[in-house]
Amino acid sequence: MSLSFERVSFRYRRASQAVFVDFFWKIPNGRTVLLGPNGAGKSTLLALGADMLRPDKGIVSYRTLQTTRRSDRAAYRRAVGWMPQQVRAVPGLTAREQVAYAGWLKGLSRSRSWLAAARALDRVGLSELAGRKTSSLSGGQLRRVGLAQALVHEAEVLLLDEPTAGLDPAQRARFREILAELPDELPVVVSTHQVDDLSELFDIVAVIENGTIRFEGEVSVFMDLAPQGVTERRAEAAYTSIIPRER
Amino acid sequence: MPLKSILRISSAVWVAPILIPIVLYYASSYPPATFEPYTLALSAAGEFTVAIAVPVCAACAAWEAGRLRRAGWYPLPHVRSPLAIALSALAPVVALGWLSITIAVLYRLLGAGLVAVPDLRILAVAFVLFVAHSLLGFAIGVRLPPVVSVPSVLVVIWCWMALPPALEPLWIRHLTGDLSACCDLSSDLAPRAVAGSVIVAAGLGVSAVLLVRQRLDLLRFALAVASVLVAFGLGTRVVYGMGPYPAVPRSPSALVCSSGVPRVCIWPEHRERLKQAERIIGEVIQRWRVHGIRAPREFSEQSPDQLPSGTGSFMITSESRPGDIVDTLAYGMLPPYPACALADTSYYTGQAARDNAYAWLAYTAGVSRDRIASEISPGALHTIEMVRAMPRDSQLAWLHRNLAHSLDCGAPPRLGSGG
Repeated sequence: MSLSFERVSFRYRRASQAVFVDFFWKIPNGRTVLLGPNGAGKSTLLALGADMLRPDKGIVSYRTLQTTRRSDRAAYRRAVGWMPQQVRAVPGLTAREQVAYAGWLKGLSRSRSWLAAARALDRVGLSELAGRKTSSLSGGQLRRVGLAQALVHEAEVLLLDEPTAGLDPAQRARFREILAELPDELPVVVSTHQVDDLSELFDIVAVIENGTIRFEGEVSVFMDLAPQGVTERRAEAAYTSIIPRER
Repeated sequence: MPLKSILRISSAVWVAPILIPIVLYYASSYPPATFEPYTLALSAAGEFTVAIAVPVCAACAAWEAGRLRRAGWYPLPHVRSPLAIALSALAPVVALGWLSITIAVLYRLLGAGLVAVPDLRILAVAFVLFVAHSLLGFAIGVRLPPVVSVPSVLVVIWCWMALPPALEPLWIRHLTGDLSACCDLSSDLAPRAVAGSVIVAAGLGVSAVLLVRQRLDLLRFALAVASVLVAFGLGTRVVYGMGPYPAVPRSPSALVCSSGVPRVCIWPEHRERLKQAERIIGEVIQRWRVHGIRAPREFSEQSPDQLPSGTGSFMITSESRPGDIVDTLAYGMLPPYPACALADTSYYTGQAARDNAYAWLAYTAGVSRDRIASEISPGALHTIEMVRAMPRDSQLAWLHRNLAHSLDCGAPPRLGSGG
């Protein structure tokens, strides 16, 4: 995968401080988990990567496509699938209609998006609820609808922003299973607070703090950062070795 | 999404069972500019209800935008353009509005016994109005919550559509797209009224397209305001000075004419009465000729102020009896009213002479005494009967004197104590 951020600066309109200043990161191939404390810039980074936000300076690009280049924008957005932190129901739509609508918004034709919606819902295990209105789905089911929305147009890269935040353990486990079932060749970046089961799901760990990548490496290397002698919750220990708790 | 899903969720589908009967009710109760089977006038009368349907559809559009807004979907990084998203959401809304007007127009046409294609200019203007105002409603709906956007769009656009036709200056109404006052048989839809309405609607539409952008900045907002102002400026320039009717004289090329002498021309809506009119006019000419009156060799149903010189005028309707046609022929032989008769503040002294001339012409044309008696004073009728007993040349001289006097504005009577 060559989704990259080159000298990216970004500041929210009314914020006094920039989230990123001259930020550089080339997202590695494989499955990457993006860790970091609240306010570190995880969601902002993924939103920039999804072209939901536009950098004040610098370039966000995928292959040769740049978000700041108007002529590239549609192709870029088609290539990148993004699941925002908050997945909301569109009033009146069923799960399949909502996913199909997301597919249409991503450039699929109406008929293709309708068929692709069925496939995407199948991938996230929601086929049986395809005809149910999204407003009546549980939080976990709605997240899966959100994942189906990100998958429906066969994106080349998947950016998932805190997909399991707020879910109960059973729903989180189900979501992880679904992530594990995604094809290996599909590059995925997941921002999360949860550090359990990293090794089963991800190839790369990246840790971000204050708009800077503090660590980037394979899961095993990350785990090795845990102090010697720690056998349980090693991922958490490794994480706190980079971002100490008091921060 | 398949069509059935779109139809299931669209507010247009829920509103349709209410809107269409209301539109039909108002459209059927609105009197057309003429009761003749004139497709244009009936189409225009059906279009009367745009003042109701357009705001309702714009409010539906605001609701549809609110659906995406509530779900937080609108600002997401879509591949489809904001305009494509808006048009997709608005297709059922615009279709509902346009369909309601088309149904109203067809209802008017069928009610008049006309199986005809509605006037497409009327339907085209209605379509532009629905697209532009629905886009505007959508643009407002993506910025404001539905609880604010829906009622405010409904009220503001209704005020814009319904109030100008009740206000002066009269030309303002031609900016709103209300063409319902068009047209009697002698008139056609005014291109200026169409252009004025379309320019303003286009301006509103362009501003809406600028406002539906996901990232709205000051420049776009300024451009949106500018496009509305420019459209109103241009529209005003086009319709400035127009009267209350969105009408221009109808092209004489539409007339259907007989080939004989006299040549009689009538509007195509009266085509089936051409032979009857030709026969009646021929008979009246004969009667006048006996009395020394030289009638024109051509008569036309055109409005008298549009007639070419040397052409006589007459009127005919679907309900006209032969006596009515003869009566209008006598009227048609009178000279146009002088300016003083038309001005509000002037005093017209020629009316009595005009009545005399009309009565004599009608009498000699064959109009019954009773009918003439119902239109002029008993004294004038007595005078006519006395004149009719005079020799032909004296009658003619009397007629010409009266025709000359009928153009006389004279002096106003002096009513004061010194008078």
